[in-house]
Amino acid sequence: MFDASQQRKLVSVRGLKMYFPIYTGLLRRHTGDVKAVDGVSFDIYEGETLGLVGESGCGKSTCGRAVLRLYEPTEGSIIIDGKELAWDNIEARRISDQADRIGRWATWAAFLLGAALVIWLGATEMLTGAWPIVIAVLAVLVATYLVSRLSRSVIYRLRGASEGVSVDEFAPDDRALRRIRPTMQMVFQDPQASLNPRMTVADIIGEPLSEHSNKTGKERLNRIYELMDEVGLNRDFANRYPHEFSGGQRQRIGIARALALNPKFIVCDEPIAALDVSIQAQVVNLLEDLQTELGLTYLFISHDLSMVRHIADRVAVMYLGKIVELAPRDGLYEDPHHPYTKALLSAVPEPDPVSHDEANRVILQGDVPSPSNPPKGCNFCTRCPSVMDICHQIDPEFREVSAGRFVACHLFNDTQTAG
Amino acid sequence: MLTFTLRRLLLAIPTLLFISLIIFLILDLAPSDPTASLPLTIPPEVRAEIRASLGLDEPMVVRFALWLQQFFINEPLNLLEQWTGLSFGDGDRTRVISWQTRSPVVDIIAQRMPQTLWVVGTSYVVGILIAVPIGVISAYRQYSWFDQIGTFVSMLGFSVPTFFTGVLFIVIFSVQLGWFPSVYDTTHVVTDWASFVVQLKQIIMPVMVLGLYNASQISRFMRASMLDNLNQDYVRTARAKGMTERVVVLIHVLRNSMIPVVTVIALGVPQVFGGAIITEQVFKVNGLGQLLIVAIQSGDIPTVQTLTFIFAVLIVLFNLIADVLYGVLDPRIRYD
Repeated sequence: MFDASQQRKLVSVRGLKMYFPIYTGLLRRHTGDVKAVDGVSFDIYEGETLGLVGESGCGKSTCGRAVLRLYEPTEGSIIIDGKELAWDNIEARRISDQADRIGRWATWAAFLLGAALVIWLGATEMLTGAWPIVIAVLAVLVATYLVSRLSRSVIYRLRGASEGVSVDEFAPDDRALRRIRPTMQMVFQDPQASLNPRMTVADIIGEPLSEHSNKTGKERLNRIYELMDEVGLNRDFANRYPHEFSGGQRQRIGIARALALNPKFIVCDEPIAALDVSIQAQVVNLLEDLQTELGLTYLFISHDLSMVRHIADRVAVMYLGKIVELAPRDGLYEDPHHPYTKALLSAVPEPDPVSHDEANRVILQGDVPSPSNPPKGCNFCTRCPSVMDICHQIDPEFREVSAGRFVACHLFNDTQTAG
Repeated sequence: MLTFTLRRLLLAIPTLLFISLIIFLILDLAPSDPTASLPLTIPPEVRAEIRASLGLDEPMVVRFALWLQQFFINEPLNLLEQWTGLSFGDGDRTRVISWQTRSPVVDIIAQRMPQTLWVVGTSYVVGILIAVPIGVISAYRQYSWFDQIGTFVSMLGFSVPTFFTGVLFIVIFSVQLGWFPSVYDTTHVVTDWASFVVQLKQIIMPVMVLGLYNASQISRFMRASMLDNLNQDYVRTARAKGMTERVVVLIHVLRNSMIPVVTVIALGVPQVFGGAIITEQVFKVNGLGQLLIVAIQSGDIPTVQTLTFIFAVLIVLFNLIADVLYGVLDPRIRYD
């Protein structure tokens, strides 16, 4: 079946952290962070589907969005299709923050200096008449714009050269990021809210085409029809608005929109969570068909374990901002290693009433700790059924325990050292 | 949409008739006397005769019916005759006559309308032009220093009454600095550049006083509406599509945010016609607001009745326009 070693890594995430700052008190001081994603590492090979599961609020969606740089990640490296999207090099990040600050000051300085100059020239009557004044004001504005545009890259070059950081190691700025966007797309959870209510289907699907390609109107329309055929939408619906569709149809629009620019990598952020069960299978099958047809790579985020078992090649389990286990699908479902994975899998409903009643379920006690104040040591130590002393002291390392199976748990560190 | 509009227009007729009755009853019950401002030496029986000559001795029902006939039949026919040059009937129709000036109320309103539309209308447009960008930037950079200052200024504009800001502006810019005249001269005619500058100078203070008030109101709406939309999922979709921030904010977010703001703006238009009574007084603009207040002071019931009723018509009309606009702008709303 799926052989990881033969495949090219399309996505490679290392130590990704996404913290949301908390400001409290009278002076809105930075007093802490919500550690939504706290040091996550995984690879996705070309053409595979990586399932990302976990309970609500464990950071799955945040992780998916951060990978696509819909957020500015706090730390970590994200490489998609050979391009670094975040900060592999800490030094580069420091320089970039500096450059932002200097750039902002330089822009203000240029503007204020220019304005002062124009006022001084006007006051001393060296600048008279309407046209010279208009030209001078325009010149100040143009200069300000140029400074704001160029200051960053100039600082990158100068500071980078002195610190030994090459220009490629800087994360792409907004412009560069937009040019990379076509390779990576996202299918969103809520198909109602994620479509602009004032745009027709053709506008929604066609907007990225007009932004990122120079197709003529005719070619654009053909491509829109092609995409609608591909996801099974009637072409006659092109001029309708999103609210006129059912949930399943809306999600098809969302998928067609994501496919518009021939992406290689698609993050599916709980694409079926908001749909009826009868529609879920349709949408998942559509995603699978598109994968075989177009050779897509998916990061499939879901809390529906049976659906993930159906679609994913490998599965990563997240708990409180960290990946606790990452393994090939069959291995994970048959022999879960991490205690949290075991508990999660034992919660899957069983259709057979006899085995449902007899099932030996692992019931976790207590609540998930706050991501702004995770426990010391292992994140799961407060609820783990097989907790040990060391779990309260040291955060277990995320390591490969057997071929392709990664676990972050002290239970497996012991077996390794013992065996 | 058309049937909806027609249905609403038909429904507006009984509404407006009822409003006119209410206005009439309130004015009738009010203890105002058109002869009160006459010299005290006039004997009571002469006063009674004056009142009788104004038609005040008739029963209330007759007076109301007469006003209805004058306003809804005679005045429109007169207007039609003026516009088309045709004549209907013998042309001998009584019009709604002002008790102060003895001239038809509709003619006075036609005289006063341009001043009000110029001053108050310009201030409304200026207010919108200031408010929309401020609201957009405030929402986009929420809690930034720009937003904080914007919030503070709009709170000021909202809470400080125009009779204070108006007088303050006059004290600063007319008395202290002497930049602008404190009185708006409605007889001024713009013929060339120099007279245009004069017009600009005299209009700038009333426009800024009213514009500040309008802008602070609308910019709050704009900001709130933008904030609602900025957190929507479709904005993230637009970013994921790789749209520039400008497109995301100005096309996706602003267009959706304008829906409620446009209706608020439409609902505010009757106020423009109503004139800003206080501001017109402060800057001596003899517009509709000033006409209304003088009419109230001298117990000129026909003028007050007619003006108030026209404002009511405008309010009903612009409510309808706001509803129709909502349907036009938001594809989710259908009236069929």
